[in-house]
Amino acid sequence: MILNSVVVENFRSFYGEQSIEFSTDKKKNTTILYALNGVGKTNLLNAILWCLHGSFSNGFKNPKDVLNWEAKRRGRKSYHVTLNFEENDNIYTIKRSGGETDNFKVFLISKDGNAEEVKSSADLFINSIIPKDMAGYFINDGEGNDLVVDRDGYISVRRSIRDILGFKVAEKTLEDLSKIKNEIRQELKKFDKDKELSEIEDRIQIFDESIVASRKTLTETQSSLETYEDRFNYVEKQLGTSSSAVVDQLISLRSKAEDRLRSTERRLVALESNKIVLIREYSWVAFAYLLSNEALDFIDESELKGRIPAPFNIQLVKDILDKEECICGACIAPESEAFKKINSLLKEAADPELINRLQKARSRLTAVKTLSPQARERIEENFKDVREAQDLISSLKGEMDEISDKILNLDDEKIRSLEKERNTLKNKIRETERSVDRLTDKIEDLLKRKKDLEGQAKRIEGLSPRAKILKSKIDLIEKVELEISGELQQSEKDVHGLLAQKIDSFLDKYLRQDYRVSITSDLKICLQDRNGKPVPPSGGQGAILSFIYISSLISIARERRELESAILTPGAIAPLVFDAPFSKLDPKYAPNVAKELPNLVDQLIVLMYQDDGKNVSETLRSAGRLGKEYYFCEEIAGEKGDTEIHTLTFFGRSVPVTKYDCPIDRVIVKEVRENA
Amino acid sequence: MPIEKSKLRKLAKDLILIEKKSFYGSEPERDRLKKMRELIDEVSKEIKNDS
Repeated sequence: MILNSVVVENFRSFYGEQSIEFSTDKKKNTTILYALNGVGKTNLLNAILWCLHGSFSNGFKNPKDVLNWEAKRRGRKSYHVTLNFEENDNIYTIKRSGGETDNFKVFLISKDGNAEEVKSSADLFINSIIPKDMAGYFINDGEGNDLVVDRDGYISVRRSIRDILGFKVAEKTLEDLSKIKNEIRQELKKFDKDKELSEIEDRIQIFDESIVASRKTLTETQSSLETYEDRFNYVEKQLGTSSSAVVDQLISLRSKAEDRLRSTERRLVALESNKIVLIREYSWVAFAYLLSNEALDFIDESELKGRIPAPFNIQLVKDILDKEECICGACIAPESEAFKKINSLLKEAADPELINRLQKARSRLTAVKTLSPQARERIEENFKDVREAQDLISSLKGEMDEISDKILNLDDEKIRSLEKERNTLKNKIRETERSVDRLTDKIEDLLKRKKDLEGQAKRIEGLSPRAKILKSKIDLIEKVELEISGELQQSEKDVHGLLAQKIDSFLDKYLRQDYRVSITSDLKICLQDRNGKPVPPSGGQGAILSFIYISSLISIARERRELESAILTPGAIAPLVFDAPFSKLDPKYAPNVAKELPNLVDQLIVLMYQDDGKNVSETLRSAGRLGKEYYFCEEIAGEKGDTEIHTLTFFGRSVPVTKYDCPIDRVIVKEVRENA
Repeated sequence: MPIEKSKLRKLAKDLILIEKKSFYGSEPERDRLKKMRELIDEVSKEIKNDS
């Protein structure tokens, strides 16, 4: 999108029609509009925003009072804005009227100048060029740039990133699906006579809410952990760069102790896990040891003694008796003396099956006896190692506490204060890590319990046909919710690296110094100096972060213009209309930023008061990027009196920007011309 | 009830489209939930018939 011109009529400070033609030159793509504070910069920016989307920026005061005061006095009831722009080699005109006439029309302008109205979904058409949820970043009133800084010096840019990634519509869809799902759950209660399913669904709903809340808390907790760690690293670095030899020595000792502590803690974890393995492997041996002794004694000393090994096999004796014939060929008649004698041998005859089973039992029991000393040795060794590791950890911690006490007793206020902060942060990190673990476990447990309930719901039989239909609708909504939220989560995860890359690149372009921006996993950013110290974003130096942040957003939106996603809204390529961007910026950074901004977008429109020695106009002009310049002149009906006349200087000429004794109060727009 | 991935994807896309038309202002907001409900009914029936 390239803005060709804007015409405002009776809009706030502009009485009658005022028009501006923006620079559309590809190289000289910047237009500067100069105006005193309170004269109409924000009004013009809002006229553009309102014409596109019918809404105003957050910084636009009294949005219901838009009609120009003089126009109202003269009986006018409406105000109008006309925007002329190019998109994909076509020219369009948007006309929007407010007040008594409420009208919004978009026209396609043909080459012969005829206007054909875009009647079908004009709103959708404009939103497809510059979505309203992204427009505020392109048509930027600077309000969003007064970034909200939390107490750790971090600024959350998550909402902005989500807007630029085109999340808004998908998020609203998820909200609506949740509403519909809850309505269906209510309806289900009427058709579920036994209330079994609806009760389960009620419980699932509670789990859903709890899972969402816990995930939110987990994200916040992880973010806090990252900021504590960031700050901890900074404090550590500060302590490490002390000029005192004593401090250096203590820090070095602590560093060594910490290394040993970390490796011992890792070893302890490995030993504890080996302990579990050993217990799994040998616990049966411990339990079976006494039993095995007794069992072996039983086998060896029992009544079976003497039968094992027996001199003859039971099967042989049975065969002789069955065949009634001895192995020597003699007849063994039943009831004969020989038959009775042989029959009596059955009691003592060896049973091969019994022998086999007893041999197996003996072998297993012998194994237990053999394994027992080995098990004892290995388990005792593990227990000993665990105790040693625990003792070493405790001793290293004591050593580190002693070092900390020594540092806290040094005669150096700065070092003492850093050490105190270090200890506080260390405790916070430990506590927060525990919270993260607890929350992670809680979420896992909730998910498991929800899954169990879903399983129970599936197993319910005898549901009425209507209840079955409602249940299948709930299932369908849950699946589509997962489909949508899955894509949102993935996109947010993917953008983390991209944002870091953009920020690094703009840092280099704008500052050309050794600064860095720290980004947490939940997209909070913090500008830090080369030592990792947060730079207060409220200061002039910190204003640079706003530029870096807005530039990164716009650059990401630009790259996502051709995004083909069914879920996310594609990005936008639109002009950057920036209200007073340089006002808080440190003069030493202004020229760099001024030089780089025109490279960021196809068209740049800057509204500013005056240069204030920041060399913005001159930098743009000498870089060949300044296409057009305008200034707003305030005409005042009253007398001048003692009031100072404000002037601006262009090409060495001083131009008044306030005029007194005029017929009416109004703001007029004048183009700056070199030869005027 | 099993549902093909492509069908689920299409449902997500159509629901987003309904929301988009309402959010970006070309259709009245009050119709949005009604249309979503109707679409869910329709797809739910289709899945039932398919199975």
